[in-house]
Amino acid sequence: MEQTKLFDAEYKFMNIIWDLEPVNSTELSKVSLQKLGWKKSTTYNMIRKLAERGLLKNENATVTSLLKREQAQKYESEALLTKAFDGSLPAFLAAFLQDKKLSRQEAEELQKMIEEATK
Amino acid sequence: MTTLFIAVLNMSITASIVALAVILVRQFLQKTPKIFSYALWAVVLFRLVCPVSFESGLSLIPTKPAAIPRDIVYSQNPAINSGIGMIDNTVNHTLNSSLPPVNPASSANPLGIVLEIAAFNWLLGIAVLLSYGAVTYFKLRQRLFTATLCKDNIFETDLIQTPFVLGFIKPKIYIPTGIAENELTYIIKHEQTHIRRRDYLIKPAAFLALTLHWFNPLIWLCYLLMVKDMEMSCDESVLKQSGEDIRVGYSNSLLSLSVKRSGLLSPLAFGESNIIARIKNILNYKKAAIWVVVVAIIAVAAVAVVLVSNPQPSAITGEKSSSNEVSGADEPIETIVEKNLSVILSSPQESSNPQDYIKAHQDEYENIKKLGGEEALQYMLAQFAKGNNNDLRGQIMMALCKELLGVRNNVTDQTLSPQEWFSALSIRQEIKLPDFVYAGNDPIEKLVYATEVAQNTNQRGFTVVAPKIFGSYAEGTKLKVFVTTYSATYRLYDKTLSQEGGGVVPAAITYTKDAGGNYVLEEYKRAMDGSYFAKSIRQYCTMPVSGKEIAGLADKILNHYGNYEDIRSLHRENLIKHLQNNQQTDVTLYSRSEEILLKFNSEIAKVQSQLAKLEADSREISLKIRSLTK
Repeated sequence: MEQTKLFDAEYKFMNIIWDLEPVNSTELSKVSLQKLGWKKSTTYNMIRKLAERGLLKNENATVTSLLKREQAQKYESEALLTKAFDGSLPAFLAAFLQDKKLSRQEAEELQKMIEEATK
Repeated sequence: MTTLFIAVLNMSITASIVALAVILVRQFLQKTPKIFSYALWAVVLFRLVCPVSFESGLSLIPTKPAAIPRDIVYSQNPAINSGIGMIDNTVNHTLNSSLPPVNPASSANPLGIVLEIAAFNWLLGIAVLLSYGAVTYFKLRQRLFTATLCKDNIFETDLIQTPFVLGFIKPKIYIPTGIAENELTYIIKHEQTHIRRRDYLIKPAAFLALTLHWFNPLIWLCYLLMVKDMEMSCDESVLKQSGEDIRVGYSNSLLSLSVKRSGLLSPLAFGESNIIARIKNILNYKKAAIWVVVVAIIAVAAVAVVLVSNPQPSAITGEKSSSNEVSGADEPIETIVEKNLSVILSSPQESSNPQDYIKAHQDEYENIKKLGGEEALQYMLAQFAKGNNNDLRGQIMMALCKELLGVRNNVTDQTLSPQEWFSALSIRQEIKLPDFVYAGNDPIEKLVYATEVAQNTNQRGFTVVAPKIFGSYAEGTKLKVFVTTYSATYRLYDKTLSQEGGGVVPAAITYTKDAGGNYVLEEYKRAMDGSYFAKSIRQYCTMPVSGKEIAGLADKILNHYGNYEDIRSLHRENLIKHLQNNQQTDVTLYSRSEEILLKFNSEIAKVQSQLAKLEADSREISLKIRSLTK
């Protein structure tokens, strides 16, 4: 979905919401001031804009997200794969693993995911 | 508005000269740290916004501070006086030939209209530039509202391509997202240096100065060069601060930033030549030797002093104190006169009438009068003294001498040959008289006469005034008097008086009582010209302290202006009294209009006598006929 493309600032904001939700809008603006350095008006504007795009909802001064973290992450990674690796997951993994090594636990998790996916 | 525009024009002229000098000096400072070049721009900025400066014998500015006189629109012969003869001649010649002739009855010359239009366009240009600046500033700020805090006053956002500083009171650093950690340190240091140097204030101030002078392309160039120097000296400061040699790392971060900006992975997009210059400067940077720094400081200080101060009046060569405005001629007077004479004599060969030759070479004729002036007159008179000047050359010299002498020429016979004219010539000498002084007892009249004489006095002769006082109003410690004054300036040559200028102007004079109980002049408000005449009079018809309008006064003043016969005759009276007091009797007033009137009157007298003769003849004839028919 086109709407789920988040700008850097929006992503950081959603992060706060995902951590704190459901959160009172005043509380949210306080945290935004502290973490992002935003004025109150900026926070409220952002809430309004994202609500219009259907990414969160603000009912009775309580903010909850409609787009979930996993969905956003999924979208971002898909975009990354398409842009940098032509959609090839193996290519991505190869590049990723060039400098890193997987731990035993990570390798087992990965194995399980592959089995699930190829069922 | 026009006076402001003229002031800005004068500043632009001086600033342009300073700018050229700075650009030249900058070339020599290329191998030195850029901070010195950057510092020199301060002088240009000063000249762009400050119309005055102190005078110093060390000044190297070749032009006078007010090359365009503030009252040029009121002058009978609008002319500039920059102190550089060549420029003055060209400009004044163009002014003379392109503008319609000055109407002595109106108080502002045609140049005034041209300047008003130009001033209006100038304001328009400023408005356009300022709105462009404001719009771009607010659009940028809009984008930055959602920038997120990193630490202190540093914010990051993915909506910008290059890092910069924004904000006037609490400047903030804005960084684009996605910059590598190691590069980040350089960038932040660079922006922090900008903040430390107050560049976020200097750049907008320079831009404001630029908007004032938007019509001057040289100043645009200065702005671009100044920005370059600002950036490069900032780079150098970062390099100096950092302990180890970070030149390579720093250049790399500049490179990757510019690549990101162009959106392509190809090396530097065109238009980014600034980045190339910056990287070159960085890689070539080495800590300057102490002696280089000292020399550079001295050089910059010296340049600043000679460009910041204005020249003292005597420093300009060729300055004449006589009423002849311009003299760019370093040539001897003989050369000037002979050169121009020979051009005049060169054509048209078929004619023997000197007027034809003069008409064919107006410029050369004027040259002798303007450039040669009094000296040329003396030279030509010396030629006549030697004799043998009855040829065509002598005729032209005689014409020139007559014009240069003006009223001092006592020979009215136009049929005399040049040498005959010369022997009949007995140059009327000027008798210098003081300005008119009021001898009466009325204290208000005393004040008014003194003020009006002071306001109207000038070098062109002695001044006589005749004020009509409409009323004087005292309020508190102030006294306000409303007058309309007929003033005129004269020159006396032997027994002939020549009027050099004058006018009829309404004014409101405000006096304040000082500690000793005497009234001293506080404000002299003249009625304005043209369409503002009536309005300005109504505006100043108010009480001196409370500002309350004085009913009916403005109308009285305006009505009187329609017929001021009373002050005209008062002026005549005062003039005669003044001449008598200075032991001058049997003086005749020479004025061109009177000369014409006299000629006209003599023509009428001639016709009248002819008519009378005709009548007498016809009466005789009818008598004769009657006697015949009896």
